[in-house]
Amino acid sequence: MAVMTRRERVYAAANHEEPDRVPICFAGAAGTYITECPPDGRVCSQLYEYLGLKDAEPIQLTDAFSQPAKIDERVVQRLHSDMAAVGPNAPRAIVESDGTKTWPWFCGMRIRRTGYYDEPFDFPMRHMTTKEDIDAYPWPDLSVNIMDGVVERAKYLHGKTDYFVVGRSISTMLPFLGYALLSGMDKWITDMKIRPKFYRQLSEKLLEIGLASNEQFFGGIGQYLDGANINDDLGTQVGPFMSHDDYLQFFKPYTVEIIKNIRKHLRPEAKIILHCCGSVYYAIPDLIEIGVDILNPVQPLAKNMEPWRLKKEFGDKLAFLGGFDIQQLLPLGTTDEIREGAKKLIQEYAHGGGFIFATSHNIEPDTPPENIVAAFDAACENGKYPISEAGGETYVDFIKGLRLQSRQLGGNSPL
Amino acid sequence: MEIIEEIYHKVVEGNVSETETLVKKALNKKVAAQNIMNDGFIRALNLVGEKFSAGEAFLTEMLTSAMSVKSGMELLKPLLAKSDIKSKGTVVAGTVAGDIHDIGKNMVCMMLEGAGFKVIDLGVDVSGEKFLQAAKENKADIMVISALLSTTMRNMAETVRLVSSAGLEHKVNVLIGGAPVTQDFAQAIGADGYAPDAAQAIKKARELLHIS
Repeated sequence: MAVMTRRERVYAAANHEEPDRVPICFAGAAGTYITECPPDGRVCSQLYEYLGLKDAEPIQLTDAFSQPAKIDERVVQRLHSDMAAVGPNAPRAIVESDGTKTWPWFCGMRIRRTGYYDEPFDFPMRHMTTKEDIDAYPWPDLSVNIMDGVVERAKYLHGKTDYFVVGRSISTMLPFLGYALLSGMDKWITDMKIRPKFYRQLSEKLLEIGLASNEQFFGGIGQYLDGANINDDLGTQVGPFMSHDDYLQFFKPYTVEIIKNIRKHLRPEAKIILHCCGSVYYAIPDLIEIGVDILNPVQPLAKNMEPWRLKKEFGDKLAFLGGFDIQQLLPLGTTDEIREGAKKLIQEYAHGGGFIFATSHNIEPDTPPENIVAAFDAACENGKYPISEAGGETYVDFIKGLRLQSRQLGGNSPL
Repeated sequence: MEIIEEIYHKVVEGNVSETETLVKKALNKKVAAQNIMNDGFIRALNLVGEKFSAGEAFLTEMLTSAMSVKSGMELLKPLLAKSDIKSKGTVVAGTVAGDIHDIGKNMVCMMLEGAGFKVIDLGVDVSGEKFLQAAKENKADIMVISALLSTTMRNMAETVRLVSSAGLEHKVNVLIGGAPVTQDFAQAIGADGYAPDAAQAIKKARELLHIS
């Protein structure tokens, strides 16, 4: 088969056709990035050093979640990425005198460094229980311009590169995740049971804010996008956050609204990519029904999220982006084990297309750089179609059988 | 007793306000605090916990049931303190150093208290030294350590080492849990127990202290 462009390759996979090789994504969609946690967890800087980049621009961090705002293009190419992302140019968080941050544009989210990460804390909506509380809150100014340089960047990626271009914005976290980030995860979970009327009132308000920003962002660049990234987290390691009935009542309608409003700005062939961590098997039929084309990050060790299971039950209707385990295999495996894992993952997911290789979330500070390079190189080497049949133990059984956590205590993790 | 049965059902439902109302009513009727705890709270938490482990109840149900018990326990505590009823054991609990995630740990604390344990919640980002000091000061029988991040799990090993260095490995049982934690890891670091979820943590705590 002739070599495809990056864009053709990803579209083919997303359309359940076999491209020339399995597409790969690094830093091209939510959950496919790398963290950077100075001073002790500089995993992105370590990757740069490992790859011999002595002249890279200093790494600037995002306001929350400890990620580089921009990855050196040479690293993106070295890791064979076929996807590139563009985000809004939103007002930055304000650094307070005590070193914590407040982010007025994202509804006043409060951020603090704990351990490695910049994490939400001091939840500014936690006190809310009534409509009056909602009305009294200092909501962000929705007329703020978030598009400086953004259209130019999207147009450049679309017209001057062959990347599959993905638009991603934190505003798609509203209402959920936003509800949890701003009120505390426990309040989000319990409000829907203890005060459902208030839950809907706050969710409507958060949705209103999110849709306004989404309108500005996706409205401005939709024509240049091949993918639109939205965010929900429906599951934990061991199962759903809530019952399926509660998901249908309290969650699904909002995602329908978000997708509907973004979709109208996209070209018909463009794909909706949902970033949704954890054990989300229970909701996959719903996600397919409401128009999700690609599911990310497909965390393999979460319950019922094995690649073989998802491919068998949903592989003809849903494409998968992610899957390479970062809880154990990527940080703790040897490079040989990583190569074996990449091969098994592709064998389980990639027959008939429908799979884009990526890590099962952002690469964490405990990851040796050689492991990162080994994983992506192995994906490239083993991704040429036709893909060989899976054999022996499954990908998840392979990872579990390595017993990496007990090995780590005498191992070579940089931590 | 009918009112205890009503309390049981309200806890299972996760109805915080009605649990509180009914506990007050029961106490006014001179129902023994111990009976409310055993037949109202513990029985309800056992049921919800079993359903959670079986995938029939979820964090929503677990948290609201645990919150119902917590609000009820606030009313019972003064009476239990005056009585000669001993707690089932003393637990110090916290999220490991570098980690601020606490839903699982909070549920374990609420459920252990509802099950008759004395619980000292140390909060989040708890250093090994703080765990050890709290265990010593409170003569803890169990140390519960939670971690959500694979990058902070290693700090659990350090805490277990501190317990051992202080000569407490046969006195304080270390029970660990959290999303990335596995039985394999717990054994490798020498923890006394591992539980994959809050419901099983309560069972494990009872097992470790040889109580029903």
